[in-house]
Amino acid sequence: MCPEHEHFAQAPQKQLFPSADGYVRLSVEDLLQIPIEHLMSGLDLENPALIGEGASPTHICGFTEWIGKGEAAITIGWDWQLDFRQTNGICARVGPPRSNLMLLDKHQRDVGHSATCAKLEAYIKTLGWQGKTLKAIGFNYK
Amino acid sequence: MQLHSGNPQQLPAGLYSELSRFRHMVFVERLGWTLDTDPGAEQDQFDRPDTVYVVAKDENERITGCARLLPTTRPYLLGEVFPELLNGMAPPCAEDIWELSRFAAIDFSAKHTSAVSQFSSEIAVQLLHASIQCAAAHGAKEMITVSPIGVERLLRRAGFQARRAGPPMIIDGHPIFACLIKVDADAESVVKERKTA
Repeated sequence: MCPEHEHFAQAPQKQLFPSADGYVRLSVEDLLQIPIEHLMSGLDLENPALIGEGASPTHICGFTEWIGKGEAAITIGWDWQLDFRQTNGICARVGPPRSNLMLLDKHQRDVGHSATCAKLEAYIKTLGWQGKTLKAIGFNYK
Repeated sequence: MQLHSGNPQQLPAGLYSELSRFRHMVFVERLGWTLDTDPGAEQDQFDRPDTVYVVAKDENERITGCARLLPTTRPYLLGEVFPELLNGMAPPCAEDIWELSRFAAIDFSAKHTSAVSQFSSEIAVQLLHASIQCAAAHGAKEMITVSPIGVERLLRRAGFQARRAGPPMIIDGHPIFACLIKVDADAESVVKERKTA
């Protein structure tokens, strides 16, 4: 958990409901209170592996989906790439996250799509998702 | 690519029957969907006199793609069959929201077709443009659709404004989700701008 949000650790989880436009609106602080769990992961069937010299795969690509269950679920998904050329492999998010969230500022106003994506990218970094994601597709990631 | 659009009465003579056979070939035979259909022809309770279709044909007059558009002010697939995909949100019921369903774009030169790969071809992009423009002509500002997981990514890569209305769920063995697509009356130019940006 990001150090600057630790003091919110004991706050009760806020009840969430989707807006008429389908977005679940919440602040970053509220997001951090929601337990999020792995839902499903898989290989990108459009681009499962990038072949390098010697016809050996240098990367594999896939997607992963995570969910925060509640009255209204929050859903966050993103693409990832595992680079074999690095020692032990580096598994990193690729591209922007996809979600049903619209984050709010301190005045309870929408921060907008781009800012929401940027904040979710920072949030994803705190999840330690790689192990569960790659285990789900049969990879032993350390 | 030739495009035809309209309700069953507005389509050229014989095209609706041809479309039913195409849909059976794609959804039942190739994709393995479990649908209650007549042999060789696919249609369901949402194929009505007011349903709007977009049909693409190649230079050999073969159907290469199709889409079905339904107003959300009348029964539609997502609202009637898959409301659980909406994450507790009431199924949209608005004149400016239309449902896109039975979307298929087939590249006959491809070795196989997957539920996701049919969204990534040039035929699919052109067909989706046509579907958006057709929906816009009927007053739509947004489309909603039940889609395989992965389609959201492909739509965004192709420059469409797509987002999810709820978490993906596995239904009948297929991970699917409710996808919202913004209808831009000038969508084609917007997509081209994004691709060159």
